[in-house]
This record gives sequence, structure tokens and C-alpha cells, in this order.
Amino acid sequence: MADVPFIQLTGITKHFGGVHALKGVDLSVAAGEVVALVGHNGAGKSVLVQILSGVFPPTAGEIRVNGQMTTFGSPVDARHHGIETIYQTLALADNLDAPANFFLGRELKTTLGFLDKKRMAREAAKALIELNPNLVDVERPVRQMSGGQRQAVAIARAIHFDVRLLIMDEPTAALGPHETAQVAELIKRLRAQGIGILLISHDVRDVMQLADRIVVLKGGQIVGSVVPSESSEDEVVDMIIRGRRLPAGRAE
Amino acid sequence: MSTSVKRRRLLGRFISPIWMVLIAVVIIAAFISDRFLSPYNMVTVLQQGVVTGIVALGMTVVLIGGQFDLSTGAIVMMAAVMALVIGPSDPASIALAIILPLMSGAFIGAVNGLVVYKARANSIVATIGMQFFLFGAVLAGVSGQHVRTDNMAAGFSGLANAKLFGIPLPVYLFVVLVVVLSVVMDRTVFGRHVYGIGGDEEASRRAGIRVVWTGTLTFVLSGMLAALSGIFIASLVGNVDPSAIGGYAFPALTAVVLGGTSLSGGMGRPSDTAAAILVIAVINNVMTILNYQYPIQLLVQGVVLAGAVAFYSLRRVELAP
Repeated sequence: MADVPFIQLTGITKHFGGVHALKGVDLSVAAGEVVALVGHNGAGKSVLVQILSGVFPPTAGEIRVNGQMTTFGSPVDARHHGIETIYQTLALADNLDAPANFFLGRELKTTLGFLDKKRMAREAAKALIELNPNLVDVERPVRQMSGGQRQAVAIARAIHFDVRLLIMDEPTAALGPHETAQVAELIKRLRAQGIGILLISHDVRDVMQLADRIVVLKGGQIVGSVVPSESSEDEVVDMIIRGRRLPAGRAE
Repeated sequence: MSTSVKRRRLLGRFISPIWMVLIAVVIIAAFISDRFLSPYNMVTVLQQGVVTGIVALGMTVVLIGGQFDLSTGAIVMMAAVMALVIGPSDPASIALAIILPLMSGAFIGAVNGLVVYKARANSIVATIGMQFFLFGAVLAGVSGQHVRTDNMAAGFSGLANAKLFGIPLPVYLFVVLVVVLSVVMDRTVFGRHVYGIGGDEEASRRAGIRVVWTGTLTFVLSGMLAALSGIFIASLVGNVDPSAIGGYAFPALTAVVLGGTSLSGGMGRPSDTAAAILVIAVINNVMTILNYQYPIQLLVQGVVLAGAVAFYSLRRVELAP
């Protein structure tokens, strides 16, 4: 690849007290590339996601966006670079309605500085119905919505604001087959638009279909990275379990 | 969704149950005693409600953010004592007797807020701790004695006692505070963020909300309003017994809960707290008219608080802002 990747992590290390959650992780995602990050629970996937989203900083290591070294002091910094995250928990405030969640932290204001509720409701409804036509009544607390509808709110919010890298943490874990297929369609569409996607999953079969590259994490370290078309489900599963590549492992 | 549920929700958007309770209580009170509706008595009801009401407004905002401020009673006391010790006898000291307690209330609120949101301490325990600290500090400061001002200037005593069209000034101020806080909570980014934090603090942080800053501000607001309440008490009576006037946190919390503010945060409205304050004031007033003594009033207040908590948990009100 001639261009610099959109995001490049080098030697990312994270300690929580005595726990070494990440040990020198290198990872990059280019524009329009779907990279899957797989591994067992506790492999460090979520920690890596939170570092990339600006939830907390790494203990050591570099983050480069478009080749420029940077640090994320807060989630706002990461968003500022076009990095949006859909958390497995969805990170919605259950007491608020869909438009309020949609614009949480970046509310639209009237010229007098008050909340522009009408415009927020209109824009959120438009974005949501585009994504999920079943969302008819958006102005109620998201607590009352189904799992799929809640996820639609989280996805719509993430892709609405000039996203360059979309991080999806277990996007299909709580979904039925139909909704899972919709998420797959969405990933393909965003990829075609040149948006980089980091897909966190433990479902190897799923990511074999979707990813351009699969990166395996175990015990806070990168085990290796494979291209699905040159690899097999078995090889990836084996890497996840053994923490190393098969002797006959093919180059990426 | 059935139409009846829809209709109920639509109605609930404009009239909270507590306002209907208020109307009912006023009608019942009017039937019980014809003295109740006399102008003099109405003014008394309002006056009694307002001092606690101002405290309750601040606690409402803190609780919408998901935290408790139980130090308010001690802040009321501290502010009242401060105002009287400063001795508002001339215009310059009147200003001081208002500004210093307010600033102290804001400062204590800031400490509360940082302890809760920055150090992540449990707010119930932290603010009770603050309450004891303030009680101790003030009682030590005045050696446990009554505090009085003999030469209180008319300007200072007028704060709480002056009337416009027969209604005391604090009542107007209370109405203004309710309107302003309603707008702030419903129409501003700050208000929206307080609801967000109360709904899901971690989600709010990840959404880029400055949780520590916003949350601390709710405590600052609560501290200042409690101090304002204390200044009114000082102005109203001109002397206070520090060991006797610290009990405002509990009645205020009763009103906050009765008004439907969720104990787990994220739901509630200042205007509903105001309605609840009036409900309690009317009930207390009727009991006074009927010659029920303070112990009975306290007992009824306890039943109202427990009843309200039970009612709202059963109903699981949906008060999305």
C-alpha cells in the first residue's frame, strides 16, 4: 500500500496496576479497509478499542492518524479525528430518547444557544429511518426499544458525523440472523465509501466473510495477521487458541 | 401500544401526576377548613414552602444527575449563621451578608462535586460527611450559642419579609427560580448533559460529555440555593439556634422524591418538585389548622416519603426530557 494507513498504532502497551492488558501491539487500518480483531475474552480487544476511542490513554506506544503522531486525551479527541465507536454495550443513556442519544455530547443549538430539539429530532429520525425503517416512534426513551432498534440508534449516531474509522465492538453478538445480515450490508457499504472499519468479534466465521484482514490477539499480544482468502477458519481458530501460527502458516 | 397508554403518556407530558395531586389536596383542604383559602393563610402556606422549596430545587438537579446532596441542611444553617454574624446593619454589610454565604455555599458545593465526581466517592456518604463537618464547624464557631442581630437593617430584613401585592418577595424569587431551572434543564446543553449523566454516566463520558465539570456544577448550584435559603431564614427571623435549624435536607428530599425525581437519576423536573413542595406545605398547613402537633406532621411526612417512593417504583414513570 503506497498511502499511509488512516490509523497506525505502534508498540501500544497498557498496564492496569500489575495487570499487563496490552504488550506492544502494532495495528493499522487503512481507508476503505475492513480489519477484524479476533481473540478470546481477556485477550485485550476491549482495552485496545477503548484506547483507540480515547476512553483512556495507553501506558506506552504511539498513535498516528494519517501519519501524524497524536494523543487522545478524551473521546472528544478521537471523534475529532473521525474515529467513531459502537460499543458492545451501545453506550446509550436509556432514559433519553433516540434524538437525544443521537446528538449526546454534540447537541445542535439555536442561535440563542438553546437546544434545537426540533432540528435534532428531524435529523435523527431521518438518519434512523434510512438505516432501519422499522424505527417509527423515535421519540421515546431508548429503554423501551428492542435490541435491534437500540443498536440502530448507536450505529446511526456513529456513522452520521463524518466518520473516517468506525470501530464496531461485537456488533452482531446480540442480533438475530436478519439484523446480522443488515450489519454485514452496512459494513460493505461503508467500506465502499472509503471508511476504515475495525471489527471486533469472536465469531471467526462471521469475519471470514467480511474482513480484508484478520488480526489475532492473545494475552495482550498480536499473534499474527491473515488474509481470509489465503487462509481458513481452522487456521484462525488455531491461532486464537494456540497463540501462534501453524508452522505451515502462509504469509499475509 | 394501546391508545389508553398513549393518551396517558400524552397527558403526562403536560401535567405530571403531582400537579393533579396538588389540585386534589387544595380542594380537600378547602373543604376541611374555610380558613384554608383565606389570603393570609395562602401567604403562610407559600412562605413555609419556599424556604424548603429553594433547597429542594437544587437537590432535584443533583439527583437528576444521579447523586444525592444531603449536606444542604447544614449549608442552610451555615449560611443563616454567617449572615447574622456578619450583622447586616448597613448597606455595605448587607451585601456582604448575602454574597459571602452564597460564595461559601458554592465553594462547599464544589468540594462535594469534586469528591463525588472526581474522586468517585458515594454521594450519600460524602455529603453526610460534609453535613457533619459543617455542623461541627459552625457550632464550634459560635460556641453552640444562639446567633442574633439586634440592629438588623430594614434592607436585610426586607429580603424575606417585604411584600409585593401582599406576597412575600421570596415567593416571587422561588417562581423565577422554578422557571429558570426548568428552562435550563429542558432547553440547554448543560441540562441535557445532566440528564445524560444521570441516565448513564459511562455512556455520557464516552459521548464526550465533561462529566466531572457538569456534575460538579450541579452540586455548586445546590450549595448556592441552600445558602440562599439560609439567608432568607436569617432575614425572616433575625436570630437562629444553630443546633435547631439544620433539618432541611430531609423535608427537601421528601419533596424531590414526591415530585417524581428518580432516585437512580436521569428523570425528574424542577417544576414537579415545586408542586410537591406545595403539596407538603398544604398538608402541613391543614394539620396545623386542625391542631395536629409537630410529631404528627413529622409522622405524616415520613408516610408521604415512603409512599411516594413505593408509588414511583411501582409505576416506573417515563419522564423523558
